[in-house]
Formats: sequence, structure tokens, C-alpha cells
Amino acid sequence: MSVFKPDDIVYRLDWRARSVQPGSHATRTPGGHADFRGFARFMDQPDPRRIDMRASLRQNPRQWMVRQYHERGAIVVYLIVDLSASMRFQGVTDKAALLRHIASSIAWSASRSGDAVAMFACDQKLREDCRVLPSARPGVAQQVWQQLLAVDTAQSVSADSLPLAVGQLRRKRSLVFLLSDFHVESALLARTLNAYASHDLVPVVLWDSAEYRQLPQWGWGRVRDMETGREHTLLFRPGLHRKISEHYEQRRAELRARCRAAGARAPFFVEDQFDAQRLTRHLLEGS
Amino acid sequence: MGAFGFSQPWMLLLLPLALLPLLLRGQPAFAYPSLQRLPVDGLSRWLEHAWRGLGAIAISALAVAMAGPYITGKSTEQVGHGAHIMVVLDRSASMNDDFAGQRSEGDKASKMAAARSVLERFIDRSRQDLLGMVTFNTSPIMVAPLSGDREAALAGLRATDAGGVGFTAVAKGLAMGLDSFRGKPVTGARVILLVSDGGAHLDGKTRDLLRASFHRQSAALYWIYLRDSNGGSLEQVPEEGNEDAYPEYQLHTYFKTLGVPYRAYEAENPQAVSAALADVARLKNLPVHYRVAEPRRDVAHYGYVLAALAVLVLLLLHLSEVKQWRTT
Repeated sequence: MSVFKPDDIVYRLDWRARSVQPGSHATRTPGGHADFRGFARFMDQPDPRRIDMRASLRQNPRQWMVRQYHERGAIVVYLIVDLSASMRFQGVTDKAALLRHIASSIAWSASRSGDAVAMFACDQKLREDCRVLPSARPGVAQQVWQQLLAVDTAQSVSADSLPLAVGQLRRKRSLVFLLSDFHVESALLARTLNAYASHDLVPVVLWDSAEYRQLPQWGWGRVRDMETGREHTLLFRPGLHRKISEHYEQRRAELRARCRAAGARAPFFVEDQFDAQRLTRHLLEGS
Repeated sequence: MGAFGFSQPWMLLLLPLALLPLLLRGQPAFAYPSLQRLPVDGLSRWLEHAWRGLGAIAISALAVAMAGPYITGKSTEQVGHGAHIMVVLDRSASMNDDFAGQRSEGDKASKMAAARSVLERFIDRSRQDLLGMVTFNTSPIMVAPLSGDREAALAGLRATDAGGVGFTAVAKGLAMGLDSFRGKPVTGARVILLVSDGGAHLDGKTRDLLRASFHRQSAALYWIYLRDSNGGSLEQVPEEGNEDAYPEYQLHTYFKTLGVPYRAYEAENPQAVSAALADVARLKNLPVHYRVAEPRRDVAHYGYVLAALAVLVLLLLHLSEVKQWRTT
């Protein structure tokens, strides 16, 4: 994953975007000839090319009817990227590299389907040095890749600015991918989910199997919280393994429930490997 | 209970080092994204406390042990029963005489016979004692070494039936009797029971040797003086310039200067001998109270053992510590 080699994903919206740029998504903009909207009197929309003979014959009193359509438009796909200290975790895979791969894949796919892409990175504050403003030009995915590769996260601690990034988004409903490990406090999670409630939020949860499944078999070890620096001693044994994975399963269920409650899409869990086809399926099923 | 003390108290200055394991942070640890995701685990928490606590215990136990703690010995009072009695019996020729100073003729009991019969009863009664017997005339004979074997002593006593010969060498007999105490633990009063009918002149060197020996063995001396009509009394001060004629008086005065418990009994007839022995038996049967001071006990090894145990457990913990998160 050290080279820019994005995977293709496909996404669809289950809502009509407000867009004037031509693109592939259903919009509320009248016009075009893709999505049928309804019929109108010919006198209201005097376009003889749209005259519908059957509808005209059905009318009483007789009059000419024309078909109306919605335009297809492009949207802006936003990537909100969590750069907090916990995202530096290197377990089975390097989480930062995985994040880079997923973000650039989404950007690449969005770019290819004609949408604009923007990226905002968050740690304790909104990162100024790592962001891509909305743009539909080709090469924006490479830019996302390079920004995430070059970003210095040595000073990053928490992900407190995740809800603040919403201020950078345009007011119109957009598709927002939130890429994080979601190891955040409950209050911050609530604020984040509420902040993006007016958008179509796709939480992408990056977990590593070394966090909760591939633990040392026996023995004991100290672990240090990458964000708070607090230390903990763990006595590894089958009982603790079970406890930890149960805890993570609970967290998975909790995240699902809270995303549903906040009106976001179901979170997409990535463990070690990013499977673009799974994400595609997840996005199409959820839409 | 004895007092507690330290032989090198300044070593206790190292004691604050025990706080280091409790306070120090920054041991190597695995980075983990978020401890919030980890469940609360009681056993792990105990382990955390255990390895910090063990470090503190090891250091403090070592510091205390290096300070050299000790408990001063308490002195215990002990009561001794019975005595160690060496009978030093005169077998000189004069013991064959009776109390009248005549050579005994059958029916009249010689001094030896009187002493023997009384001693036999004395030996029979002294159940709790250790007994030994030395007889002497010109030179001493170890008849029965100091032991609980009464039969040996009685047999030695009966052997005196053969009659006495030679002179009275008191010093040699006493020396041999005292020698038999050497190297034995003092578990009861030590008594030299000298049964003799006369004294002997002791020169200065012998006197000093005997005195030193009495002191070293801390033995009491009972002298049963079988006095016949020819012998002088121990209490009667001889005339001026005539001291050498009364060696028993000289011996008596010397014994009084020994500095150990000493009593003399003058026995002029068999009944007196028996009375004197009864007196001796009563005296030496008095319970002996004495205080024994125990040496101070070094208890540093407890500290070292505790420290070693703590370090051992820490070593086990160190060996069981996970060095690598994943095996692959």
C-alpha cells in the first residue's frame, strides 16, 4: 500500500441531490431526460420533443401533455479523516496506510463517477496542512493520497475536531465518509454523529485484529493508551481474550445502534484488509 | 521479649528507594489505540499492584536486612534439679582406723566402713544426680566417671573394702575430681564431696592451680572430715608456731579462701558422718535458680529471604512478560 493503487467502489444515493453540475446522481433539478418526474401541460412547457401521446389521449378535456424529467447531477463526496494518535496504531496492518488506501480509493471512485472530492483531516484541531478542497479535476485522488502520506501526525492526540469539520462542508446534503477507528468518548461520538446528521454519513470503522483478536496467548504485558498515555497491565489468558472480544462486539453493536439513531448509514467495519467489493455491496444495500 | 535494634541503622536511609517501583512510570509498554475499549479485568489490576508492590517489598526488605536487625537476647530463668557430685574418697591407710584412732578389729567400724555404708545410702537416695567417684591415697584413681550410672559408683565404693594404703594426697584427688567436670554442660550444681580423715600440706602452686580449677568448674566443695580422737578440730586454732602439725586446719583455712561455696563437717563417729551426708544431700537438692542470657539473635536473614522471594516472583513475572504482541 505504499504506492497509489486505489480500488474501485460504487455508491448510490437514496436521496435527490441538489446539484447543478452534470453527473450520475439523481437530483431535484428539473430538466434533462433521465429520471421521469411527471406530466405537464404542453402550454406550461412547450417542448414538442417531450409530447406524450398516451398521456394526451388520457386527458379530459383533451390537451397536449408533455413529460417532465429530473436532471442527473454530480455531488461532492467528502472524506472526513481521523488523524488522532490512535490511528497511528500498527497491528497486523499499518492503520495509517490502510486509511490512506481507503480514502484514496473512495476519492478515485468518486472522481471517476464524475463527483467532486474533498477531504478534511481532524485531530485535536482541524488540520490546515492536510486538506483537499472540493474539486472534480482528475488527480484529486492522488492528491488525497499524497496529503495523507505527507501528513505529520506526531503531535496529534485526540479526535476532538471531528464535529468541527462539518463547518467546512457545503450546506447541501452530501455524501460524507467518516474514516476513523471510533475509539472516542461517548460524548464526542454523539456530537460527531449529530453534527453530520444533515448529510449522508457513511462511518467507516478501521479496526485491527491485533486490537482484540490476535492477542498474546499467555503472559502479561503493559499497554499504553496512545491518546491519553495511561498505562494498564493485562494478564493475557483465554478468559481475557474472550472478555476483550466480547467487549469489541458490544462496541460494534453500540456503534450500529448509535449510527442508526443519529440517522447515519450503518457503519462499515474494516478489519486489517480493505475489501472494495464489500464496501460497494454495503453502500448499495444500504441505499 | 528482647529489644529490637539495628547494627547498621544508617542503611535504613536506603528505605525511601522502595518508593521507586511505586512511583516510576515509563516501563516499556505496547501502544494500544484506546484503553476505553478494554474491559475492566480484576486479575490484571491485581497483577499491576503485585509487581509494583513486590518491587517495593524487595527493596525495603533488602534495606532493612542490610541494616542488620537483631533481637537482643532475653534472659530466661531456669531451675536446676539434682547435682553433679564427684565423691572424692580418701583411701589412705589411716582410714582403716576407727574413730578412736585404733586399728579397727572386726566389730569396731573403721572410718572407711562408716564412710562407705553412709555413702552407699547417699548414692542410693540421689536419684536425680549424676555421680562419679575418685579415690585417692598417694595418687588418685578414677573409680567411676561422672554419669547417671549409680551401679558403677556403688561398685567402686564396695571395692574400697580392700582397705587403704599409702598417704593422703588430697590435691591430686581433688584435681582429678574437678577434671571430670570439664567439658560437661552445667545442668545442675557441681559438688565435690571430699571424704577424708586428714589434711595434707599443699604448696603455693598447687593451691593456685586448685583454686583456678574450682573457679573454672564452679564447683562447690563439701568436706566431710572424719575426725578421730588423734586429729585436731578444724575450728581449733593451733598454737603459734605449731601450724604445720595440723595440716587439716591449714587445708580448712585454704578451702575457705577458695571463693566457691564450701562447707566442712567434722564427723567424729559414724552417726555424725551420716548426719553430715544428710545435710549435704539436702543442700545440693535445693533447686538451683539461675538466669541464662541468650545471645542476641540476628534476624537479617528473614529480610534477605523475603527480598529473595520477592525478587524470585519478580523474575518469574519478568519471564512471563509478553515481549512481542504477535507471535507471527
